[in-house]
Amino acid sequence: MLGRACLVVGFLLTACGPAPLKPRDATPGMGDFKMQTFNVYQAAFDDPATVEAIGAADADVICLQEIQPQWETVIRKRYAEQYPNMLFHAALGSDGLGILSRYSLQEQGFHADPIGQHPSWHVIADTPMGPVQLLNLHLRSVFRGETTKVDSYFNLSSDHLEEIEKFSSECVPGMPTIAAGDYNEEPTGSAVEFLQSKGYRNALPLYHPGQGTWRNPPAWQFEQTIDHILFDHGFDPLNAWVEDRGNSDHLPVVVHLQAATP
Amino acid sequence: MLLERFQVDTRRRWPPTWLVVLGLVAVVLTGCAPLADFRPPSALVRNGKTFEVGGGGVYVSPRPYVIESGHGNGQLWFTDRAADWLSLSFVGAFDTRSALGGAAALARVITTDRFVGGTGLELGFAWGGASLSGSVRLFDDAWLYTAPRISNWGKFLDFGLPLGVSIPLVDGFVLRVESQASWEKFAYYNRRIHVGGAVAYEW
Repeated sequence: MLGRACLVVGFLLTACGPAPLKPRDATPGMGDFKMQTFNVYQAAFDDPATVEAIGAADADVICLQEIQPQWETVIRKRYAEQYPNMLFHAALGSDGLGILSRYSLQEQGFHADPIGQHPSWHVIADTPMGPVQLLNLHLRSVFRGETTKVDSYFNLSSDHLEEIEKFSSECVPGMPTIAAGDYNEEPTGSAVEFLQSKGYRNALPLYHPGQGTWRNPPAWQFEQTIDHILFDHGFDPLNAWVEDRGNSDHLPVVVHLQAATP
Repeated sequence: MLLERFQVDTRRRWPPTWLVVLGLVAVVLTGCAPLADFRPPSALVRNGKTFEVGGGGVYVSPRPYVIESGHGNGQLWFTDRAADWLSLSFVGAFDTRSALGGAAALARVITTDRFVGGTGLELGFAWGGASLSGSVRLFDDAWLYTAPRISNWGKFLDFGLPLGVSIPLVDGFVLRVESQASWEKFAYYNRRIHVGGAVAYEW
């Protein structure tokens, strides 16, 4: 009994468990690219560190949330050279979305939220591995329902499920798909689990389990993992990480992907 | 061999006013969820003293697979042995960005010459915890102690397993050195190692 207890404690102390994936180089000819999501925080458009955090990872495609009109102006000026293809749906509050890309983009629709919260944006990017469809998501936050705060908290899971079912139903069947954004839920949330039940994988926990993507300054201990990039079976993951930059309450999440098959 | 054999002087000798004020100010202005225990159940048991004030520092390692840096945290406490079986404490912790505090109660369930065991409860601003603590006397008034605990890390549950030594220095001063492993959400990948040291003064 004592031996088993020591074994368990030993495993815990050495952080034993399913080992995360190790980063690896792209396979030549498989059309790799880097994809990023970043909730920039609506009011941080005049913060240089946050503006620089957008392009710091040099991702090829970036999904942005909470894009206000001032953010659009700043980003167009700062990143015109790095990202020749930009789409913005700037809005006051936290509804605004943006997409920056080195590759050409085809807009597929700006989808209203079924519960009256943040919309999503459906875009096809012409990447080195061929057309890839992107869902830029900003699911509703914990206390943003149209009911009381208590109802809002306890309805979060069902609301997220309704949102992701609606948004994902707009995708073109058979095309490699990435659903990236601010999910406002942990990796065990209903929207993430819904996509995982459809064969999607959540990029960041594959390489950095436990990694937070949101922090509540100034208290150091409040962090959550609520920004996710989920990709379907059309992709083979090479790496995923966060960029610890900027002064948004969120961190940029980046994934390096290549085609699963030639 | 229970407590009585130590012939503890239970007359309460209150600390100087300036020390009380200083302690209260420190606790109110500082504090957050403590990253170390530093308050073994054996404190104030054997030497007939009633009060303890202490301060120390803790370093917390980054988690194994997480992109984050290590973190330093200061910790302060003031303990009153309110009864032979009960110690009440104000506990504060702080870093460069935050400061919070709270209160703790430690009930000694078993007290012998060589072992003191008890259970503790802590409650503070955005912080709560419960522990089972035990101390084993090594020699004189030097103790090896632990306090397996469940508390919160942010909004998640956290399990901590501290192990420390308490060594008397001179004139009421006590050195405490402690290491702790903790697992946020009880997940292996959220393991942190805490290493800290503190000095307490007892009277």
